[in-house]
Amino acid sequence: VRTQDVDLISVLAGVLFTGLGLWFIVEALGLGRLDLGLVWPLLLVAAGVAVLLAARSRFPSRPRRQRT
Amino acid sequence: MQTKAKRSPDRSPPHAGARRRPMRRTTDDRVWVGVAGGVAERLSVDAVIVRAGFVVASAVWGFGLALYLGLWVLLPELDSPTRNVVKPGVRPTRFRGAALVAIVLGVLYVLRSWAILPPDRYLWPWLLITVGVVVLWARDPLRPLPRPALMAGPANSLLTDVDFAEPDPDQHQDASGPLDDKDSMGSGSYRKAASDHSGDEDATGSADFGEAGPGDAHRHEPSLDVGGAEAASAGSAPALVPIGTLTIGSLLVTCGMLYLLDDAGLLDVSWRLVGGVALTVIGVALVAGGWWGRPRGLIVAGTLICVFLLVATVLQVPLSGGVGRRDIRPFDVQDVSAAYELAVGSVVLDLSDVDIESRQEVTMTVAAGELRVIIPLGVDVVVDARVGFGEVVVFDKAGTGVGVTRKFTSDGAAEGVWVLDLDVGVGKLLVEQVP
Repeated sequence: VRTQDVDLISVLAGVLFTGLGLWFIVEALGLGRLDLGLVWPLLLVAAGVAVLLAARSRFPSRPRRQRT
Repeated sequence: MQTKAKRSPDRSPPHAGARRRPMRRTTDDRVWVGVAGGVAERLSVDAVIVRAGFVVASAVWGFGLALYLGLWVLLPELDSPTRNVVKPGVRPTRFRGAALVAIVLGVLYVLRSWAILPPDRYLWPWLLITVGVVVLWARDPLRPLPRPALMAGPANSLLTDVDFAEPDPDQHQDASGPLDDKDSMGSGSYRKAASDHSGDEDATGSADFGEAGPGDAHRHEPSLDVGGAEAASAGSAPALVPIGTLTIGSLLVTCGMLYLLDDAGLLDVSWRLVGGVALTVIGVALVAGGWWGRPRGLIVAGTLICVFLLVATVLQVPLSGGVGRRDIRPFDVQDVSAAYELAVGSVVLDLSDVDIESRQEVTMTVAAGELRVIIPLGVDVVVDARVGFGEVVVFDKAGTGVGVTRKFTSDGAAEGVWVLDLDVGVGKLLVEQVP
Protein backbone atom coordinates (compact mmCIF):
# COMPACT_ATOMS: atom_id res chain seq x y z
CA VAL A 1 0.00 0.00 0.00
CA ARG A 2 1.49 3.28 -1.05
CA THR A 3 0.54 6.62 0.42
CA GLN A 4 1.66 10.08 -0.47
CA ASP A 5 3.36 12.12 2.18
CA VAL A 6 1.30 15.28 2.34
CA ASP A 7 2.39 17.66 5.07
CA LEU A 8 -0.92 18.32 6.76
CA ILE A 9 0.44 20.95 9.15
CA SER A 10 1.78 23.04 6.29
CA VAL A 11 -1.50 22.78 4.43
CA LEU A 12 -3.60 23.79 7.44
CA ALA A 13 -1.30 26.66 8.34
CA GLY A 14 -1.35 27.77 4.72
CA VAL A 15 -5.14 27.82 4.60
CA LEU A 16 -5.28 29.82 7.82
CA PHE A 17 -2.66 32.34 6.69
CA THR A 18 -4.23 32.71 3.26
CA GLY A 19 -7.64 33.41 4.76
CA LEU A 20 -6.33 35.94 7.24
CA GLY A 21 -4.15 37.58 4.60
CA LEU A 22 -7.03 38.00 2.18
CA TRP A 23 -9.10 39.34 5.03
CA PHE A 24 -6.53 42.05 5.78
CA ILE A 25 -6.19 42.88 2.07
CA VAL A 26 -9.93 43.29 1.58
CA GLU A 27 -10.21 45.53 4.61
CA ALA A 28 -7.12 47.55 3.74
CA LEU A 29 -8.37 48.24 0.24
CA GLY A 30 -11.79 49.18 1.55
CA LEU A 31 -13.46 46.57 -0.62
CA GLY A 32 -15.63 45.38 2.20
CA ARG A 33 -15.96 44.89 5.88
CA LEU A 34 -15.65 41.28 6.83
CA ASP A 35 -16.90 40.12 10.18
CA LEU A 36 -15.46 37.36 12.29
CA GLY A 37 -18.81 35.62 12.15
CA LEU A 38 -18.35 35.24 8.40
CA VAL A 39 -14.61 34.72 8.21
CA TRP A 40 -14.16 31.96 10.76
CA PRO A 41 -16.75 29.60 9.26
CA LEU A 42 -15.16 30.14 5.86
CA LEU A 43 -11.74 29.37 7.30
CA LEU A 44 -13.11 26.25 8.96
CA VAL A 45 -14.68 25.09 5.71
CA ALA A 46 -11.45 25.76 3.83
CA ALA A 47 -9.45 23.92 6.47
CA GLY A 48 -11.85 21.00 6.27
CA VAL A 49 -11.53 20.82 2.51
CA ALA A 50 -7.75 20.96 2.84
CA VAL A 51 -7.79 18.13 5.37
CA LEU A 52 -9.99 16.04 3.10
CA LEU A 53 -7.71 16.66 0.14
CA ALA A 54 -4.67 15.79 2.19
CA ALA A 55 -6.31 12.79 3.79
CA ARG A 56 -7.52 11.43 0.48
CA SER A 57 -3.98 10.73 -0.49
CA ARG A 58 -3.37 8.99 2.79
CA PHE A 59 -6.14 6.48 2.31
CA PRO A 60 -4.97 3.10 1.15
CA SER A 61 -5.34 2.81 -2.55
CA ARG A 62 -7.42 0.05 -3.98
CA PRO A 63 -5.23 -2.96 -4.65
CA ARG A 64 -4.70 -3.48 -8.31
CA ARG A 65 -5.50 -6.75 -9.88
CA GLN A 66 -2.59 -8.22 -11.63
CA ARG A 67 -3.34 -9.82 -14.92
CA THR A 68 -2.28 -13.37 -15.13
CA MET B 1 12.44 25.92 37.66
CA GLN B 2 14.30 23.64 35.40
CA THR B 3 13.26 20.07 35.41
CA LYS B 4 16.05 18.26 37.13
CA ALA B 5 15.11 14.75 36.29
CA LYS B 6 16.69 14.01 32.99
CA ARG B 7 15.19 11.18 31.12
CA SER B 8 17.25 8.37 29.93
CA PRO B 9 18.50 8.51 26.40
CA ASP B 10 15.71 8.36 23.91
CA ARG B 11 14.38 4.87 23.53
CA SER B 12 12.04 5.53 20.70
CA PRO B 13 12.35 3.16 17.81
CA PRO B 14 15.20 4.05 15.53
CA HIS B 15 12.90 4.21 12.55
CA ALA B 16 10.88 7.01 14.10
CA GLY B 17 11.81 10.07 12.08
CA ALA B 18 12.55 13.38 13.70
CA ARG B 19 9.38 14.82 12.27
CA ARG B 20 7.21 12.40 14.20
CA ARG B 21 9.00 12.57 17.52
CA PRO B 22 7.52 14.46 20.45
CA MET B 23 8.92 17.88 21.13
CA ARG B 24 11.71 18.03 23.67
CA ARG B 25 14.58 20.17 24.89
CA THR B 26 17.86 19.34 23.24
CA THR B 27 21.15 18.98 25.01
CA ASP B 28 23.61 19.44 22.17
CA ASP B 29 21.93 22.31 20.31
CA ARG B 30 21.32 24.84 23.02
CA VAL B 31 22.20 28.33 24.08
CA TRP B 32 20.35 28.31 27.37
CA VAL B 33 18.13 25.33 28.16
CA GLY B 34 17.55 23.83 24.72
CA VAL B 35 14.00 25.02 24.08
CA ALA B 36 14.76 26.62 20.72
CA GLY B 37 16.79 23.60 19.68
CA GLY B 38 13.87 21.32 20.47
CA VAL B 39 11.34 23.48 18.65
CA ALA B 40 13.68 23.73 15.67
CA GLU B 41 14.12 19.98 15.63
CA ARG B 42 10.36 19.50 15.62
CA LEU B 43 9.82 22.03 12.83
CA SER B 44 12.90 20.95 10.87
CA VAL B 45 14.23 24.49 10.71
CA ASP B 46 17.42 26.11 11.85
CA ALA B 47 17.47 26.76 15.60
CA VAL B 48 18.80 30.26 14.97
CA ILE B 49 15.55 31.13 13.23
CA VAL B 50 13.55 29.90 16.21
CA ARG B 51 15.76 31.87 18.59
CA ALA B 52 15.31 34.98 16.50
CA GLY B 53 11.57 34.36 16.59
CA PHE B 54 11.62 34.15 20.38
CA VAL B 55 13.59 37.39 20.61
CA VAL B 56 11.28 39.24 18.24
CA ALA B 57 8.18 37.90 19.98
CA SER B 58 9.61 38.95 23.33
CA ALA B 59 9.43 42.54 22.14
CA VAL B 60 5.66 42.14 21.99
CA TRP B 61 4.60 42.38 25.61
CA GLY B 62 7.11 39.69 26.54
CA PHE B 63 5.15 37.05 24.68
CA GLY B 64 8.24 35.28 23.42
CA LEU B 65 9.86 35.14 26.84
CA ALA B 66 6.65 33.81 28.42
CA LEU B 67 6.37 31.19 25.70
CA TYR B 68 10.00 30.22 26.18
CA LEU B 69 9.60 29.85 29.94
CA GLY B 70 6.40 27.86 29.47
CA LEU B 71 8.09 25.48 27.06
CA TRP B 72 11.02 25.18 29.46
CA VAL B 73 8.64 23.89 32.10
CA LEU B 74 6.55 21.71 29.83
CA LEU B 75 9.13 20.09 27.58
CA PRO B 76 11.22 17.18 28.79
CA GLU B 77 14.95 17.18 28.30
CA LEU B 78 16.17 14.15 26.40
CA ASP B 79 19.86 13.46 26.39
CA SER B 80 20.22 12.29 22.84
CA PRO B 81 21.79 13.99 19.82
CA THR B 82 19.59 16.36 17.95
CA ARG B 83 18.02 14.98 14.83
CA ASN B 84 17.44 18.33 13.29
CA VAL B 85 18.38 18.51 9.64
CA VAL B 86 20.40 21.65 10.36
CA LYS B 87 23.04 20.53 12.79
CA PRO B 88 24.80 23.02 15.01
CA GLY B 89 28.11 23.97 13.52
CA VAL B 90 27.17 23.45 9.88
CA ARG B 91 25.35 26.68 9.25
CA PRO B 92 27.85 28.93 7.49
CA THR B 93 26.63 28.10 4.00
CA ARG B 94 23.04 28.83 4.81
CA PHE B 95 23.90 32.09 6.51
CA ARG B 96 26.05 33.52 3.80
CA GLY B 97 22.96 35.07 2.28
CA ALA B 98 21.90 36.66 5.55
CA ALA B 99 25.41 37.96 6.15
CA LEU B 100 25.49 39.42 2.64
CA VAL B 101 22.19 41.19 3.22
CA ALA B 102 23.47 42.62 6.50
CA ILE B 103 26.62 43.89 4.82
CA VAL B 104 24.67 45.51 1.98
CA LEU B 105 22.31 47.21 4.43
CA GLY B 106 25.25 48.47 6.46
CA VAL B 107 26.95 49.92 3.38
CA LEU B 108 23.68 51.57 2.34
CA TYR B 109 23.33 53.07 5.80
CA VAL B 110 26.81 54.55 5.62
CA LEU B 111 26.26 55.88 2.10
CA ARG B 112 23.00 57.40 3.19
CA SER B 113 24.64 59.13 6.12
CA TRP B 114 27.03 60.68 3.61
CA ALA B 115 24.03 61.82 1.53
CA ILE B 116 25.30 60.23 -1.65
CA LEU B 117 22.31 57.98 -2.19
CA PRO B 118 19.16 58.78 -4.15
CA PRO B 119 16.02 59.58 -2.15
CA ASP B 120 14.24 56.75 -0.39
CA ARG B 121 11.37 56.82 -2.85
CA TYR B 122 13.74 55.71 -5.60
CA LEU B 123 16.14 53.61 -3.58
CA TRP B 124 14.05 51.18 -1.55
CA PRO B 125 11.48 49.91 -4.06
CA TRP B 126 14.10 49.15 -6.67
CA LEU B 127 16.40 47.67 -4.07
CA LEU B 128 13.64 45.32 -2.91
CA ILE B 129 12.76 44.34 -6.45
CA THR B 130 16.40 43.78 -7.38
CA VAL B 131 17.11 41.64 -4.34
CA GLY B 132 13.93 39.65 -4.97
CA VAL B 133 14.83 39.01 -8.59
CA VAL B 134 18.36 38.02 -7.57
CA VAL B 135 17.00 35.57 -5.00
CA LEU B 136 14.66 34.03 -7.57
CA TRP B 137 17.31 33.95 -10.26
CA ALA B 138 20.01 32.48 -8.02
CA ARG B 139 17.94 29.39 -7.25
CA ASP B 140 16.38 28.96 -10.68
CA PRO B 141 13.30 27.55 -8.94
CA LEU B 142 11.81 25.65 -11.83
CA ARG B 143 14.97 23.94 -12.96
CA PRO B 144 14.28 20.24 -13.54
CA LEU B 145 15.94 17.72 -11.32
CA PRO B 146 19.32 16.63 -12.53
CA ARG B 147 19.62 12.96 -13.13
CA PRO B 148 22.21 11.56 -10.73
CA ALA B 149 24.97 9.68 -12.44
CA LEU B 150 24.24 6.50 -10.53
CA MET B 151 20.70 6.46 -11.85
CA ALA B 152 21.83 5.95 -15.40
CA GLY B 153 23.19 2.79 -16.77
CA PRO B 154 22.45 -0.86 -16.39
CA ALA B 155 22.88 -0.74 -12.64
CA ASN B 156 19.35 0.53 -12.49
CA SER B 157 18.07 -2.86 -13.32
CA LEU B 158 19.32 -4.05 -9.97
CA LEU B 159 17.39 -1.40 -8.09
CA THR B 160 14.06 -2.89 -7.43
CA ASP B 161 12.88 -2.87 -3.86
CA VAL B 162 15.93 -1.32 -2.30
CA ASP B 163 15.99 2.39 -1.59
CA PHE B 164 19.62 3.33 -1.29
CA ALA B 165 18.73 6.94 -0.69
CA GLU B 166 18.08 6.26 2.98
CA PRO B 167 21.39 5.61 4.66
CA ASP B 168 20.01 6.58 8.05
CA PRO B 169 16.45 5.55 8.73
CA ASP B 170 16.32 7.85 11.74
CA GLN B 171 16.81 10.83 9.53
CA HIS B 172 14.52 9.90 6.79
CA GLN B 173 11.42 7.91 7.43
CA ASP B 174 8.48 8.41 5.21
CA ALA B 175 5.26 8.61 7.18
CA SER B 176 3.83 5.88 5.06
CA GLY B 177 6.67 3.50 5.51
CA PRO B 178 8.73 1.99 2.77
CA LEU B 179 7.46 2.10 -0.73
CA ASP B 180 6.48 -1.29 -1.87
CA ASP B 181 4.41 -0.37 -4.84
CA LYS B 182 6.55 -0.14 -7.91
CA ASP B 183 3.80 0.83 -10.26
CA SER B 184 4.27 4.51 -9.93
CA MET B 185 6.53 7.08 -8.48
CA GLY B 186 5.75 7.79 -4.87
CA SER B 187 5.90 11.22 -3.43
CA GLY B 188 8.43 9.97 -0.96
CA SER B 189 10.85 9.20 -3.75
CA TYR B 190 10.13 12.54 -5.30
CA ARG B 191 10.94 14.31 -2.07
CA LYS B 192 14.16 12.48 -1.59
CA ALA B 193 15.41 13.40 -4.99
CA ALA B 194 14.16 16.94 -4.63
CA SER B 195 15.90 17.34 -1.30
CA ASP B 196 19.12 16.12 -2.74
CA HIS B 197 18.86 18.69 -5.44
CA SER B 198 18.04 21.36 -2.90
CA GLY B 199 21.13 20.49 -0.99
CA ASP B 200 23.25 20.88 -4.05
CA GLU B 201 21.81 24.25 -4.64
CA ASP B 202 22.58 25.29 -1.10
CA ALA B 203 26.21 24.91 -1.87
CA THR B 204 25.94 28.02 -3.99
CA GLY B 205 25.40 30.02 -0.87
CA SER B 206 21.92 31.29 -1.49
CA ALA B 207 19.71 31.73 1.53
CA ASP B 208 17.18 28.98 2.02
CA PHE B 209 14.38 29.69 4.46
CA GLY B 210 11.91 27.07 5.33
CA GLU B 211 12.84 24.33 2.95
CA ALA B 212 14.54 22.16 5.43
CA GLY B 213 13.24 18.69 5.06
CA PRO B 214 14.27 15.31 6.22
CA GLY B 215 16.07 14.74 2.99
CA ASP B 216 18.43 17.60 3.58
CA ALA B 217 20.29 15.62 6.18
CA HIS B 218 21.91 13.52 3.50
CA ARG B 219 21.84 15.91 0.64
CA HIS B 220 25.04 14.63 -0.89
CA GLU B 221 24.01 11.03 -0.84
CA PRO B 222 23.39 9.51 -4.22
CA SER B 223 19.73 9.04 -4.95
CA LEU B 224 19.00 5.60 -6.25
CA ASP B 225 15.35 5.27 -5.42
CA VAL B 226 13.15 3.36 -7.77
CA GLY B 227 10.65 6.11 -8.46
CA GLY B 228 13.30 8.62 -9.36
CA ALA B 229 14.96 6.10 -11.61
CA GLU B 230 11.72 5.41 -13.39
CA ALA B 231 11.06 9.08 -13.85
CA ALA B 232 14.52 9.68 -15.10
CA SER B 233 14.45 6.75 -17.43
CA ALA B 234 11.14 7.93 -18.77
CA GLY B 235 12.70 11.30 -19.52
CA SER B 236 10.19 13.13 -17.34
CA ALA B 237 12.19 14.21 -14.36
CA PRO B 238 9.93 16.23 -12.08
CA ALA B 239 10.72 19.89 -11.60
CA LEU B 240 11.94 21.10 -8.24
CA VAL B 241 10.05 23.93 -6.60
CA PRO B 242 12.03 25.40 -3.69
CA ILE B 243 9.05 26.90 -1.93
CA GLY B 244 10.92 28.94 0.67
CA THR B 245 13.19 30.74 -1.76
CA LEU B 246 10.38 31.30 -4.21
CA THR B 247 8.30 32.83 -1.42
CA ILE B 248 11.02 35.16 -0.19
CA GLY B 249 11.83 36.37 -3.69
CA SER B 250 8.17 36.90 -4.50
CA LEU B 251 7.63 38.81 -1.26
CA LEU B 252 10.53 41.15 -1.96
CA VAL B 253 9.38 41.86 -5.50
CA THR B 254 5.79 42.37 -4.32
CA CYS B 255 6.81 44.78 -1.57
CA GLY B 256 8.85 46.78 -4.05
CA MET B 257 5.92 46.95 -6.45
CA LEU B 258 3.59 48.08 -3.66
CA TYR B 259 6.10 50.79 -2.75
CA LEU B 260 6.15 52.02 -6.34
CA LEU B 261 2.34 51.97 -6.60
CA ASP B 262 2.05 53.93 -3.37
CA ASP B 263 4.65 56.45 -4.52
CA ALA B 264 2.88 56.90 -7.85
CA GLY B 265 -0.38 57.56 -6.03
CA LEU B 266 -2.11 54.63 -7.68
CA LEU B 267 -2.71 52.75 -4.45
CA ASP B 268 -2.92 53.73 -0.82
CA VAL B 269 -0.58 51.17 0.69
CA SER B 270 -0.91 50.69 4.41
CA TRP B 271 0.94 48.39 6.77
CA ARG B 272 -2.20 46.26 6.88
CA LEU B 273 -2.17 45.80 3.12
CA VAL B 274 1.51 44.88 3.07
CA GLY B 275 1.03 42.43 5.91
CA GLY B 276 -2.03 40.93 4.27
CA VAL B 277 -0.20 40.43 0.99
CA ALA B 278 2.78 38.88 2.76
CA LEU B 279 0.52 36.59 4.76
CA THR B 280 -1.37 35.52 1.65
CA VAL B 281 1.81 34.74 -0.27
CA ILE B 282 3.14 32.70 2.64
CA GLY B 283 -0.18 30.90 3.00
CA VAL B 284 -0.32 29.93 -0.66
CA ALA B 285 3.29 28.79 -0.47
CA LEU B 286 2.52 26.63 2.55
CA VAL B 287 -0.46 25.01 0.88
CA ALA B 288 1.63 24.28 -2.20
CA GLY B 289 4.47 23.14 0.00
CA GLY B 290 2.23 20.58 1.62
CA TRP B 291 2.53 18.62 -1.60
CA TRP B 292 5.75 19.81 -3.21
CA GLY B 293 8.02 20.68 -0.34
CA ARG B 294 8.24 20.98 3.38
CA PRO B 295 8.49 24.70 4.08
CA ARG B 296 7.64 24.65 7.76
CA GLY B 297 9.92 27.56 8.43
CA LEU B 298 7.31 29.66 6.69
CA ILE B 299 4.89 28.80 9.49
CA VAL B 300 7.14 30.72 11.88
CA ALA B 301 7.27 33.67 9.49
CA GLY B 302 3.50 33.62 8.98
CA THR B 303 2.86 33.44 12.70
CA LEU B 304 5.12 36.42 13.34
CA ILE B 305 3.31 38.42 10.67
CA CYS B 306 -0.06 37.48 12.22
CA VAL B 307 1.12 38.61 15.64
CA PHE B 308 2.44 41.85 14.15
CA LEU B 309 -0.81 42.59 12.32
CA LEU B 310 -3.01 41.88 15.31
CA VAL B 311 -0.81 43.75 17.77
CA ALA B 312 -0.41 46.71 15.43
CA THR B 313 -4.18 46.80 15.11
CA VAL B 314 -4.63 46.76 18.85
CA LEU B 315 -1.88 49.24 19.64
CA GLN B 316 -3.75 52.03 17.93
CA VAL B 317 -5.40 52.47 21.33
CA PRO B 318 -3.19 53.93 24.09
CA LEU B 319 -2.42 51.53 26.90
CA SER B 320 -3.09 53.98 29.71
CA GLY B 321 -5.74 54.89 32.24
CA GLY B 322 -5.35 52.11 34.77
CA VAL B 323 -7.01 48.76 35.32
CA GLY B 324 -10.39 47.81 36.72
CA ARG B 325 -14.06 48.67 36.43
CA ARG B 326 -15.31 52.24 36.17
CA ASP B 327 -18.92 53.31 36.47
CA ILE B 328 -19.23 56.96 35.49
CA ARG B 329 -22.62 58.59 35.93
CA PRO B 330 -22.43 62.38 35.85
CA PHE B 331 -25.52 64.46 36.73
CA ASP B 332 -24.37 67.71 35.19
CA VAL B 333 -22.57 68.58 32.02
CA GLN B 334 -19.83 70.16 34.10
CA ASP B 335 -19.05 66.72 35.51
CA VAL B 336 -18.40 65.24 32.09
CA SER B 337 -14.75 65.07 31.12
CA ALA B 338 -13.59 65.56 27.59
CA ALA B 339 -11.60 62.31 27.64
CA TYR B 340 -11.66 59.03 29.50
CA GLU B 341 -8.98 56.34 29.30
CA LEU B 342 -8.75 52.80 30.62
CA ALA B 343 -6.00 50.28 29.92
CA VAL B 344 -7.68 47.02 30.93
CA GLY B 345 -11.16 46.48 32.33
CA SER B 346 -14.63 47.81 31.75
CA VAL B 347 -16.05 51.28 31.83
CA VAL B 348 -19.66 52.45 31.71
CA LEU B 349 -20.45 56.09 30.91
CA ASP B 350 -24.09 56.76 31.72
CA LEU B 351 -25.16 60.13 30.32
CA SER B 352 -28.87 59.55 30.87
CA ASP B 353 -29.07 62.15 33.68
CA VAL B 354 -27.20 64.90 31.84
CA ASP B 355 -29.16 67.56 30.02
CA ILE B 356 -27.29 69.42 27.33
CA GLU B 357 -28.22 72.27 25.09
CA SER B 358 -25.10 72.47 23.00
CA ARG B 359 -22.46 70.31 21.36
CA GLN B 360 -20.48 68.19 23.82
CA GLU B 361 -17.48 66.13 22.72
CA VAL B 362 -16.26 63.09 24.63
CA THR B 363 -13.34 60.83 23.76
CA MET B 364 -13.02 57.41 25.38
CA THR B 365 -10.39 54.67 24.94
CA VAL B 366 -10.13 51.17 26.39
CA ALA B 367 -7.10 49.12 25.35
CA ALA B 368 -8.58 45.79 26.39
CA GLY B 369 -12.02 45.24 27.85
CA GLU B 370 -15.51 46.62 27.49
CA LEU B 371 -16.72 50.14 26.84
CA ARG B 372 -20.39 51.00 27.25
CA VAL B 373 -22.00 54.40 26.71
CA ILE B 374 -25.62 55.13 27.59
CA ILE B 375 -27.32 58.06 25.86
CA PRO B 376 -30.75 59.43 26.82
CA LEU B 377 -33.51 59.53 24.28
CA GLY B 378 -34.31 62.86 22.71
CA VAL B 379 -30.69 63.91 22.38
CA ASP B 380 -28.82 63.94 19.12
CA VAL B 381 -25.63 61.97 18.93
CA VAL B 382 -22.69 61.57 16.57
CA VAL B 383 -20.75 58.37 17.20
CA ASP B 384 -17.44 57.26 15.72
CA ALA B 385 -16.73 53.85 17.25
CA ARG B 386 -13.74 51.61 16.47
CA VAL B 387 -12.62 48.24 17.78
CA GLY B 388 -9.26 46.72 16.93
CA PHE B 389 -10.37 43.17 17.56
CA GLY B 390 -13.80 42.35 18.93
CA GLU B 391 -17.39 43.52 18.71
CA VAL B 392 -19.07 46.85 18.14
CA VAL B 393 -22.75 47.58 18.77
CA VAL B 394 -23.93 51.12 18.06
CA PHE B 395 -27.69 51.12 18.53
CA ASP B 396 -28.82 48.76 15.80
CA LYS B 397 -25.49 48.61 13.98
CA ALA B 398 -23.35 45.68 15.06
CA GLY B 399 -20.14 44.14 13.82
CA THR B 400 -17.32 41.85 14.86
CA GLY B 401 -13.85 41.34 13.57
CA VAL B 402 -10.54 43.11 13.18
CA GLY B 403 -10.53 46.86 12.75
CA VAL B 404 -14.30 47.20 12.96
CA THR B 405 -15.68 50.72 12.65
CA ARG B 406 -19.24 51.91 13.13
CA LYS B 407 -20.45 55.47 12.65
CA PHE B 408 -23.80 56.95 13.51
CA THR B 409 -25.27 60.42 13.12
CA SER B 410 -28.77 61.28 14.27
CA ASP B 411 -31.13 63.58 12.41
CA GLY B 412 -30.17 66.73 14.30
CA ALA B 413 -33.59 67.82 15.53
CA ALA B 414 -32.52 68.35 19.13
CA GLU B 415 -30.50 71.26 20.48
CA GLY B 416 -27.93 69.24 22.33
CA VAL B 417 -25.52 66.92 20.54
CA TRP B 418 -23.21 64.33 22.05
CA VAL B 419 -20.16 63.77 19.86
CA LEU B 420 -18.57 60.51 20.94
CA ASP B 421 -15.17 59.34 19.72
CA LEU B 422 -14.80 55.81 21.06
CA ASP B 423 -11.91 53.36 20.73
CA VAL B 424 -11.45 49.83 22.05
CA GLY B 425 -8.31 47.82 21.29
CA VAL B 426 -9.54 44.34 22.11
CA GLY B 427 -13.01 43.72 23.47
CA LYS B 428 -16.52 45.05 23.17
CA LEU B 429 -17.95 48.50 22.52
CA LEU B 430 -21.62 49.28 23.17
CA VAL B 431 -23.57 52.48 22.59
CA GLU B 432 -27.23 52.40 23.54
CA GLN B 433 -30.10 54.75 24.20
CA VAL B 434 -32.43 54.51 27.17
CA PRO B 435 -35.61 56.45 27.90
